[in-house]
Amino acid sequence: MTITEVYLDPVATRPVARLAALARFEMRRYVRHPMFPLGIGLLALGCYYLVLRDPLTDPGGLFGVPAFFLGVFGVAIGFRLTHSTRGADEVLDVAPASPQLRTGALCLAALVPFALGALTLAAILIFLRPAGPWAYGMLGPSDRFAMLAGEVAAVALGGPLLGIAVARWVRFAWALPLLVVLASVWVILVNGVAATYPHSFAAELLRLLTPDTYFLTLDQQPRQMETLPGSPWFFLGWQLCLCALAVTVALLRDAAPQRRRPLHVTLAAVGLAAVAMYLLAATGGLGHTVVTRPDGTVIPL
Amino acid sequence: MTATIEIDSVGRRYGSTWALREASFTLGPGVTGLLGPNGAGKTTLLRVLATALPPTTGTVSLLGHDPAVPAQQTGIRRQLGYLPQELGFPRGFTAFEFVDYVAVLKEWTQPDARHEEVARVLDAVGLTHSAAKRIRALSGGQRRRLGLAQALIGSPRILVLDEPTTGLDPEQRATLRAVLAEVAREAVVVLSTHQTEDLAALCERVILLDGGRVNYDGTVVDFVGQAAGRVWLATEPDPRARASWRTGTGLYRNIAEQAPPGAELVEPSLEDAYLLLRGAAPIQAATR
Amino acid sequence: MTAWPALVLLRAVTWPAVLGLTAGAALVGAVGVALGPASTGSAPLATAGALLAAAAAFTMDEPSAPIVDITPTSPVRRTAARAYALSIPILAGALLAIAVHTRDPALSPTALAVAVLGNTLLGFAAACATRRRLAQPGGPAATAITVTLVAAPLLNPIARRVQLFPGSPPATLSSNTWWTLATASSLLTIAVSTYVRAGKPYA
Repeated sequence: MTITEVYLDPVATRPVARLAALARFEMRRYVRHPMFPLGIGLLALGCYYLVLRDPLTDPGGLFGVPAFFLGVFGVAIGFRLTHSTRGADEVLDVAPASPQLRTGALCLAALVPFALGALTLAAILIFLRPAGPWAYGMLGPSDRFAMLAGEVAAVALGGPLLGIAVARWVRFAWALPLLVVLASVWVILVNGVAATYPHSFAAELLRLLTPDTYFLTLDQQPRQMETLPGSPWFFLGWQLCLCALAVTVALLRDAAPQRRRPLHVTLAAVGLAAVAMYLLAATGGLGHTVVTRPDGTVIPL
Repeated sequence: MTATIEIDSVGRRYGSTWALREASFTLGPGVTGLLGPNGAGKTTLLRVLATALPPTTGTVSLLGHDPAVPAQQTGIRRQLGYLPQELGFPRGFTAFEFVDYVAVLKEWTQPDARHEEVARVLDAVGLTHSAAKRIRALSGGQRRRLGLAQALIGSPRILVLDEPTTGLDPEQRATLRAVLAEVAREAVVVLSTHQTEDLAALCERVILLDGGRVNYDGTVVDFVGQAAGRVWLATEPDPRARASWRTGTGLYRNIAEQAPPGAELVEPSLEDAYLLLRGAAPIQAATR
Repeated sequence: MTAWPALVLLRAVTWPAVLGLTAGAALVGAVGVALGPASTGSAPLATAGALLAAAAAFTMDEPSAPIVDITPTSPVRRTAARAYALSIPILAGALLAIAVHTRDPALSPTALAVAVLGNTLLGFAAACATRRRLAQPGGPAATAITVTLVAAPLLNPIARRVQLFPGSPPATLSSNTWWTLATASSLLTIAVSTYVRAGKPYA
């Protein structure tokens, strides 16, 4: 088949077929990036120590491990994969596959860490041995699932998408370490502020204004679990809206004029949905922090 | 002491692949061209001569010194200029600042003398009026000339140039030839190029590399002479020809080991000799 | 080498990266100082240190490596000239340490200085060690170091044993231990990698 025939072939020229072919290519590149197997290895090690070795007393503390080795590593991989083709921009920009198609394919590659996150979530749910019912605080089975899904699977999806979105707009390589630190520090910051001002609604709003957050905090002295306010389900919705925002922002870069308007509309719609999810997360669930202790005592704060 | 390059049975291996094998020759002042297909080992050989890469086998002597001995290597590098095939530039530099930077690294520590030398080499490559321009604002050809300028600092006795004419227009190539001809009065100049007309115009000697081996080493005149009586014009491409293509006059230029009787023989070019000696599969133009 | 040529060599440092990351470190550190350890612990200050390390990693980038590496100026001199660029992240780290000590006089200035120096040298050492194989080691080295240093205070199994910023006496002891080890290892790495490049032909 000559190149002309390929592009005239109704099957081969369908955008979906081209997107699928490019997405498979990008997924292979994602898997082959050195940080991916490293992240898997460290994730397995971390999960072994946290989930399998001892009965889990701190489900809230669990989130650091998959969030970091899938999410933060994903930020780095997504950023570097996007930047890696910059040298060939002049050639790729005149190829039939538009920059948006290539970006879309990169975003689809985030399904690889997302699938790994989903598998990790399933493994955690199957093998997790909590120290007792008090370890999950006031969260029922449904909320526990939403919390873990957000901490493990949603972050695994959102990390690479954030890296791709930033790399599409920012040309300098040193933005990556800055992004990793700022994203991590922001999460620590907002949770720290919320912990310092537990009765402040403003601090609570700030705590949820982040790609990932705690809903459970273990205190050692005395030994008790704090369930923080907010709805894990709507927070999961907020996280997924952030993922959609990242994809839209990435696609906006170098978008053809006729595509800008639909993307702006999408951006506005997803933004509104994100705001709605955020407000519902902040006003849903528990209205205030509640403490549960191993002896079954429940103390609202 | 006359500038010389002597290599004996030099080979270079990358993993299990030999990029260069058993290369031996002696070069004196003048311009020598390296010719060969992509992957023949030209860049590898040039990097060995530029002391950027150690040979896996064999010996190298540059200006009578052994580059494998650190102290002698430093001495060689003081008298060596190198233009690699691909050259990156630090961000934010002007043309003058970049050459000045390399001059410092070449131990030109006195600012006045150094700036004078930088101005000289920029003038030699026709970049005087672009000296204050940022490198990112220079065209591809101007950047190539900038790369050549830094190689000319200190009037090196060995000049190694990897595809110096890439991106240059005919006028710029003519200027480059003039510059190199002047340098080659006393220095050993080794360059690789795919532009056979540059090689023909500039080089006294040509080394043909193929598959990492030296297939030919001799004068350009003798090299072209290999194709004498083997190049002819015809109204149709000859299927037995090693290479055949349609020229601008509408006739087909054919190259083969033996021309058919009565063929209209023409004066061979360096390119004809290259195609004949390359030994590749026959190159045939599609017939109309 | 006179001072002027060293300045010319310093001009080739990737200053946007060094300054940008140092500014990022100052910002993150300032937030940590403003909020104090009660809110966020030492994590923002520890991660500010990670950005200082990242800034240091970019000082060794050399886009013109094919020609620079075959000049007569030895790798030792070139590395020494570029080491002057470390003064920027070290100065920023010192100012941050002063701010931290001012907010919390109980924190040991020596421990703070050790942490700042250790972070900066770690980034420089990573870049020196990889410079032989990579003309521009800044990106990969900065990413690897940042990810590692950010992981430490965030991940419970490591955070319990490794403190990368002085705080309470046990944390200060842990921080001093790790950063003294890191400083010593970094200096050794810088010396070995640089002198190996200088001593070996074609390095």
